[in-house]
Amino acid sequence: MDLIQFFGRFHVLVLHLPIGILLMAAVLELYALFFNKQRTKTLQTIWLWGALSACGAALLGYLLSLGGGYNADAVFVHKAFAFAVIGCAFICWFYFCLLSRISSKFAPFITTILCFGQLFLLFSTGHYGANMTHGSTYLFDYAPDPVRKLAGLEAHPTPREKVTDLAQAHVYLDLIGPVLEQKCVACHNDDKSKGKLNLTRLDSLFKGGQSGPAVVAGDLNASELYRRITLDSHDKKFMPAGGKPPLSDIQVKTLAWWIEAGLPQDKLLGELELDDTARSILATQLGLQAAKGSWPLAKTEPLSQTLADELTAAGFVVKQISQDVAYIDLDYSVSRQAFTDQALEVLLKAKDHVAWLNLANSQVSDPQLAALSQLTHLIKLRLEKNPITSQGINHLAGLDQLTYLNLYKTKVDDQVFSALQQLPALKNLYLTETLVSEQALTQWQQKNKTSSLQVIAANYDLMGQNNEK
Amino acid sequence: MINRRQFLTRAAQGLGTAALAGATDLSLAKDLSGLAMQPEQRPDLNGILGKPHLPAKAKRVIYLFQSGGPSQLETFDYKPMLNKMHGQELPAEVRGDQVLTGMSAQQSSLPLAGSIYDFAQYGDSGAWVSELLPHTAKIVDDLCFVKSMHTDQINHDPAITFLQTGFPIAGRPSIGAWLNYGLGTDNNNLPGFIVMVSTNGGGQPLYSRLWGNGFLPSIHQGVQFRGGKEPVLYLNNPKGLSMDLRSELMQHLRKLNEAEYAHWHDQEIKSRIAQMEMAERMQSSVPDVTDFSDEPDWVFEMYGPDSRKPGTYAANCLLARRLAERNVKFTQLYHQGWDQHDYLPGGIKNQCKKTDQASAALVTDLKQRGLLEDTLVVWGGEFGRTNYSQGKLTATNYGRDHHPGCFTMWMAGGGVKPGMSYGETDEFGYNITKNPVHVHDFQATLLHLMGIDHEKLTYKYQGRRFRLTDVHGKIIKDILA
Ligand code: HEC
Repeated sequence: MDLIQFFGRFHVLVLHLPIGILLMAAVLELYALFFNKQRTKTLQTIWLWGALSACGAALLGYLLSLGGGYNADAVFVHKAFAFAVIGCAFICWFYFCLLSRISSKFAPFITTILCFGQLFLLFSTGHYGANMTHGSTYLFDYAPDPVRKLAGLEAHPTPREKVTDLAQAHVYLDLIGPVLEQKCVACHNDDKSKGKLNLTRLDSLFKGGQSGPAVVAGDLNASELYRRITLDSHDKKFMPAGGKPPLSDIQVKTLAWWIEAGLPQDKLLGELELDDTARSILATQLGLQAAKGSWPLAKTEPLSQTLADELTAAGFVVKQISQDVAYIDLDYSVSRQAFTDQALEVLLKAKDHVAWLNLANSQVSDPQLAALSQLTHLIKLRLEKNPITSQGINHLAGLDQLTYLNLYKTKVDDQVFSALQQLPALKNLYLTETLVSEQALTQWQQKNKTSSLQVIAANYDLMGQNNEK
Repeated sequence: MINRRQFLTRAAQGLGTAALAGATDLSLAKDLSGLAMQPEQRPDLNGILGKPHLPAKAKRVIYLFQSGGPSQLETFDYKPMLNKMHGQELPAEVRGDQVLTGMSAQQSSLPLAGSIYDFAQYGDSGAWVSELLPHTAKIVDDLCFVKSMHTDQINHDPAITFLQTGFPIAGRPSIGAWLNYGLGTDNNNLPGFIVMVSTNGGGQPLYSRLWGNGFLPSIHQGVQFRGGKEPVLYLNNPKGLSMDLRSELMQHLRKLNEAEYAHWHDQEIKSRIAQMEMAERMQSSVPDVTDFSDEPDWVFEMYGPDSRKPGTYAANCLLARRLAERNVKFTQLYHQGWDQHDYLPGGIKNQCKKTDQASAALVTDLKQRGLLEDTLVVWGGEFGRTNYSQGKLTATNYGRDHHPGCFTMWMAGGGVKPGMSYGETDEFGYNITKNPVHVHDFQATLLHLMGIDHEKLTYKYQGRRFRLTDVHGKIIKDILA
């Protein structure tokens, strides 16, 4: 148990006492003076309390500083101001106790000086203390440029231009730096370097912290930084600490790539050799491609409630895909009625929203399929158990996003394969119990060995036909 | 409680209505609208979440619960070391501090027992499967085996309760209840949570609280379909009662219930109303789903001969597929009888025979219908079995005691990687050596696949927010497709 740290951390709590009390004392003194009001005697006690609480806060602050992790210069300045605050507070107490007995023509002048001095010292101490916890630029980070100039800071750096070409991305400035900046430097910077680790620059990153170098080229296991970000998120040693938002999967993979690639620094990605996995990871991290498994369509506005109600009334079960994805999932298969043209009409009103559509077992007809081609955002389409034919499927041409098409137990025949060219994104096609012949299927599969489209038309053996998948 | 004055006014009203009915126009008596009717409200189809936290990979689950604790060592976790050391004592360092049940803790010796059934590798994935499961062996490339499941519970009831509700003591909602509470239904004509217990299992008992709603509204509890000719009783109207008359009766009953609700504001009255309406819709939807006459012969051949006998595991698997086709969100099958403390070789062979073909057929059938894509099939029991023999070890006979330290489950479809094996046990099949998966991790992953963040689906009860995964659970990212 580190009792010193235990008490030290109460500093951040107790320090608010002297700030409040001394502020009140000084303001009330000035008020009485300038507005010629009766000065209450309680003020003496308040000064004393302020002085004592300042001592307490300082003592705890000292204990906290023993734990280390703070820039020594910053601690020194903060400490110096804190002593000044305490000194000033005791002087004030002493002076105001005397003042009630004697009277001098300098009294108003001295009172003014002491009170304003106390306020100045108080704010300065607070400011330097805050700088230590939040970083010295904290206050002006978001200040407009003119204000920053006044405060003697540089104008905001112009943000790096967004990378549009993987090869042109800079390893540190575009990939690694931004990740550390976003998730780590709040605690690992010049002023506050937790674990003696500073992640604002490459040289200090390579230098590492308490337990040695943070990263070892080509060796994930020896890289403390990587170990910390891949621990169980409930682990005490997990980084970012303190329940801060963890790195995303792709950020972790980006750092892993960097370490395994031997920590390249001042390089553009175009100058390095990248395999396909690395390419895909880095492109995702740079926002050049959608993350694997993420929603493939552009953002859209939620469906209006009136339209949702209309769809429901027409027999659809209406569900929004998820809280962040405003596309909808429509199901007509459970409505127990044939899919009428009226239902189709309502469906088309929602054509910009429908991503998943289930029309199984609903007596959908070929002409109706022609209208479905307007649903250009369709990703999954279930048409099983409907009297539709290959002609109907031809109408679906142009559904560029369609990845899943279920034609189980429909009347499609060998012609269906010619329609497939028009469905570029298709990944899963179901043709079991259709009129598709085994020869046509094998032929198609022979020709498209490398295709990412998986056709399932299984169990001819069980259906009394030949034994082939 | 009704106080005296309320009682008197109500009684007077009642008398008045009755008198009117007797005296004048019948329709007047029927009109109970004076008793505070609420405007017609559609039952909320979207559950408490309104929309899932993330796009769902699985829209429905079929959970094939193998109750009793199937031995991982005779099915999927191949341990040749046990055959090599057959009959030797379980090394103390392997056992470690594992607590044993009272059934084998008293044994003077704990002799290791190798599987008497042979194993071979199958499929492109090269998964090891024992000779007892020839049908499952054919579909291993569609399955994701988790060999490193472990649980906190060593006895049947708490262990099953733990898997189904996330807590070993009864009273929490079951997984299916949570899913329906969170996501609502995709087919308002059937319950969203249906349970079937095979009639050809037998063994350790099961209790309806395993599919209970706990503190959630009772509309979310599992509805059990009975084995046999009539899965749901009293679906047909009594003789002489026409459907119209029945509907009218239901309407009035509803009005009375609404009035009661307006008075008491008890949510359970709402549940009651919803359940009655569901029951009415089930009068036509249940016969439709349970009548197998539209299934061709090749389907029965695929699921095996048992599938023609209502109530068997095979028939229940087929029924589960029919429920999946009709968007039922959570279908839970239980097959009892996997508790082989003694006579394991014979017992487990029997169990596998009853379940192997149908389990495999279900996966294949869903796949060819394009349903495996968004249906998650789960197979597994409540714990594993010991690597040493409980009771006497002979050349052809042995038994195995409960073992919470490791067991195997498989999942298929619904956003899980096919053809993979996750996690490993040591060569004694006793301890997990790689990627342990706790029951809460499995539950967290299942919810994730259904589009739910397991930390965000909660219910406040008795002053505290409850979750299926309590305060635990990590999603097993490596098995997500
Ligand atoms: C909320 C503050 C905080 C944030 C944010 C934070 N850290 Fe830390 N970090 C600490 C503290 C405190 C320590 C020292 C205690 C320890 O070793 O766990 C530390 C220690 C470390 C160490 C060990 C240094 C050594 O040599 O012992 C590494 C490596 C590290 N952090 C990496 C990171 C990375 C990478 C990030 C960003 C993903 C990050 N930290 C974000 C607070 C933080």
